[in-house]
Amino acid sequence: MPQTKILLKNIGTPNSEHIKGYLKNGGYKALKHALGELLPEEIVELVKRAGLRGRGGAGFPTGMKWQFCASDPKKIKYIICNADEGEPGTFKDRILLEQDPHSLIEGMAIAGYAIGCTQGIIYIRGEYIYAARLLEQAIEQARAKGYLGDNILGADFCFDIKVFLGAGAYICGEETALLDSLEGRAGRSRVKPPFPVNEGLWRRPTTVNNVETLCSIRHILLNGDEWFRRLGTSECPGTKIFSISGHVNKPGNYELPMGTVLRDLIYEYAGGIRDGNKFKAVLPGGASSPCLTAEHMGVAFDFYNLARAGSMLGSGALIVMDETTCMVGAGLSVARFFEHESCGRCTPCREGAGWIVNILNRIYNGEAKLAEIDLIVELADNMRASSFCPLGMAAPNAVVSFIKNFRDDFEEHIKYKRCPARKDLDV
Amino acid sequence: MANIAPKLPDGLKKEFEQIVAQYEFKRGALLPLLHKVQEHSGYLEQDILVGIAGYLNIPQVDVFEIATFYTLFNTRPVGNNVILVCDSISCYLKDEEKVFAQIKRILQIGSGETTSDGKFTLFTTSCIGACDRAPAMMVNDKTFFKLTPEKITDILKEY
Repeated sequence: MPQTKILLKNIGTPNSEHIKGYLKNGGYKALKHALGELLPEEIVELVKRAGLRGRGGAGFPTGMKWQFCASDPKKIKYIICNADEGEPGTFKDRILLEQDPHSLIEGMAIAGYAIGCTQGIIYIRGEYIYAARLLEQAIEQARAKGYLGDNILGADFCFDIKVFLGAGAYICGEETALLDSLEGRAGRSRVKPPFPVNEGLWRRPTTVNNVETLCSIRHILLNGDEWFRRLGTSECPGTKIFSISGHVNKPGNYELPMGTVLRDLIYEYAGGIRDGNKFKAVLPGGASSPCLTAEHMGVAFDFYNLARAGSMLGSGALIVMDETTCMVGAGLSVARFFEHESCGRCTPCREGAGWIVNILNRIYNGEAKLAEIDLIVELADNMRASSFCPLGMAAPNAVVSFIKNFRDDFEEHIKYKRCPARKDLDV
Repeated sequence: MANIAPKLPDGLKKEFEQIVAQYEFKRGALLPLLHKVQEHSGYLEQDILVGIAGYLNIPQVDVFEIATFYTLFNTRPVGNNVILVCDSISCYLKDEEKVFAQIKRILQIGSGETTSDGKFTLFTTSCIGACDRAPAMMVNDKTFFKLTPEKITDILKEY
């Protein structure tokens, strides 16, 4: 079966990153349609009826977010694109930003019109400096053609976009930490409520949407909500870009209907496991998600079905591990990431993440006691229960799932100073 | 901090004014200003951080916090080229450790260190969104993909 390329359709076409290429592929038609034929509230209703959920990880209904923001009586509002793609295993926004930036610009302009705001900001991670420069050029091209600026396409609507470069902080992908970063602060999550839709950037109503979410908007406007609902599952309509990495033969971005099952994702699209090896585990939603194992091959990948299977869809990043993977080592890699990225404010996350690394290191080197395996699980329970924000709550997910499913890997490191999966490993 | 004389970088006065003018609330210009300084001098000197605090009329401690909170900001001098090797899970699964070991062997430095000729500074970094082409690293603004120990030798020669 071919992919269902809607968001990725322009990728690979000539000059897809330039407005010339974009216009040739029907670009800015949706914005014309929106400004010429639709009222802002009609667009909000359309996006609500389509059932689009945020593609950044949380899966919140986009139309509802827009409605909350649009109905706030405060005058100055913002639409912010979260391009701080940092979840390990995720590389879907990168391709959209680098090769189809006008899709994002058009989606943001439509969102701005629907919500009633004149200012858009793209918060892009510092590591994506190449994409950031490209976006600046694309914005310039859109301004020159009158798709951004004053009285866009002759309508009573002014809108412009600014690119804001992050500086290396995973936490800024969390929307309230992102807002702090935009305000010239260290990125640290805020208490909710108030929600950003009412008190966001500079305490003004702010909608924060992911790149993939905003790129979906023009397709919904041009093809309608019923078309969108026919794709994917009834609970999660539309397509999703799945970023597949790790031990598969063909790692890459695959756009498929929501609800595509794990078996198809790995074997039909990503070319199966490398070297004819056996599948061991997959982190289905980036490094924050608990792993799935071979028994889960039939699980449909959408927000609800993955939650029912005890994990999460997150950003749709599948990190695939084959039978040669040392789960202690893999766990250590994930744990180090969270230790480094903890913002340091709340104790459970800051200290818990550090202690998990500490203990895993000693297990990896065969220096720990067996009881320390359960100590990690206990630490994890505390982190989940009492961390301030989702980073700390999700930090131990992968490690605990590795312990639960592959306890032998951990025990053999300690008991026999060897790794059952990686024979070459010198414990 | 109190005994550091505030300073603004030479030759960036105009750029600073242009950046700040874009922000309704001056503090919003802080990250862009720090990016500008680093682009200009390679790292953020203490006296300039103090200078920026005065320039934006915000507490010095806030500027120091931000300069150290964000990984991409350097508060110490770095070499002419900064290498960021991704050590997150997808790169780890594709033998990033061997690549990193090769870089350390060739350059004779560890993470966070600069070569004695001032040519390279080496860091590990969190995921850089190149997982389908792992293992990956950045040298300055450029990303290199599908690395092997052999490729490292060639890439480093280019600098």
